[in-house]
Amino acid sequence: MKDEDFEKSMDKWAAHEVESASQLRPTEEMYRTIEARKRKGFFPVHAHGVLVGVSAVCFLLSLVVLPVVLRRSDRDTEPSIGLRGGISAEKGVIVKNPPRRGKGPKKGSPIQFDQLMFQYQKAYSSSVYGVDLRFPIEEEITLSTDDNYRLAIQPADDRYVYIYKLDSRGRMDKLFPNDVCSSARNPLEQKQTYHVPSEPNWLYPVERKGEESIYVIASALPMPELENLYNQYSRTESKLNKQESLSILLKRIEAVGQDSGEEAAKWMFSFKLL
Amino acid sequence: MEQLKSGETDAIDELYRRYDRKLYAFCYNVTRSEDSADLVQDVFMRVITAAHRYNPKKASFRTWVFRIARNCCVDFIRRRDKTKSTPIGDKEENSPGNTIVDDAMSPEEALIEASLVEAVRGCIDELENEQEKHAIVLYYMTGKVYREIGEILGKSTSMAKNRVRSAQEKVKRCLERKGFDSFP
Repeated sequence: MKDEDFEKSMDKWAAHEVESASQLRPTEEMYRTIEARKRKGFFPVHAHGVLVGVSAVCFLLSLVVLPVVLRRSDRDTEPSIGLRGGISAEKGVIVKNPPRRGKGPKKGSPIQFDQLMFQYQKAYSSSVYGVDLRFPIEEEITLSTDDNYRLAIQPADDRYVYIYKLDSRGRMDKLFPNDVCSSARNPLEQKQTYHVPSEPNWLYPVERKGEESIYVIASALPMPELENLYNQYSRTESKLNKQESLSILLKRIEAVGQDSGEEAAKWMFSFKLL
Repeated sequence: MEQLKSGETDAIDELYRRYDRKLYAFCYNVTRSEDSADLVQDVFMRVITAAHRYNPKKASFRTWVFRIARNCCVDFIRRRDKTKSTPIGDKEENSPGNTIVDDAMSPEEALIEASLVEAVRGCIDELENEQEKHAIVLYYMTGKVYREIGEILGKSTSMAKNRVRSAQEKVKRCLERKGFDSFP
């Protein structure tokens, strides 16, 4: 190969690598770090000592005042569903756990989905990633409050679908059916793709540590008992009773599909928070 | 860079516009990891936190950024080698590992480009000397300046030139073995 041809080949390769590279975006943390520098630089040097003193007093005060304030406010009633517009998916969904032979759902299962996917977008990337809930995933997914996620569902038959989210503070939210997330109603029609939340919205984690879990329950028939248990949980105000209601609800979810007479199935997916 | 130091957030947007794809391409070709995007984010975070330490008299900004990127990649490879080995070619779908087809190309042209890109990647992966691998990737990603490559690698200009030349010879021979006798 002539040197000239080699150079052309390598230039072609390099140009391709750069053009096809993922386009990234700065994260919120980066902006915060830069802005913090601006605030720091705003004060003249001789004022730093005074600032340190004032900050120390504020810190000590906050140690006394904050716990009282937090105890008074009922944080458990704060909304834990965060919705916002997402980045457009330019290159389709990149599935993290594509189907493998012998690792799929049981063929005899009465509940089948043509698509049942947890989709997410990292804040800095224009790509959309997917975790197929019908197949095992070995990789641990970690999302920050800057990232987005949603569910994409396509039932193989008309199905009643219930989706719940358990956040890291032990609060359960119903994502579907829920008018805030989607105007769709049960039963979901076969061969139709539904997004929860519906386009163009995405959910995002509201907490910064721990783990969030998503429960998807699908049934051939309505599940009023499940609905009632959730309503009971969400109406309960006392912390102790709420925990008890949650425990009953989780036990019911756990039992879905175990009764041979119940034509229903469940899927669970957890991701870490950063 | 001065804007970044003084806390102007627009500065980081501009840095991303200029360097994100080049850094990604560099990190991906050096590590062949699907975590290259995270790695590049780490590079930018280090650039932000270390901005006050950047001295334009010592090196160009591009050199400084790529030196940080190279250090991040080397650290990443060390960590990865300690835990487990990731097979080369285990690529993610959105990484440059998958050839993006330009709509303006004919299918034949696209196929030829894809096969050339795959062949070059394979040949770079075959380079056993890590410094040669880094040198040749930097050479084509940063503008073919031996002095800059030397500064990024922490070597003299002549040493950088030797590394690039040696890598070029090996890649050229490898491409010939793969049937690329001329520019397709």
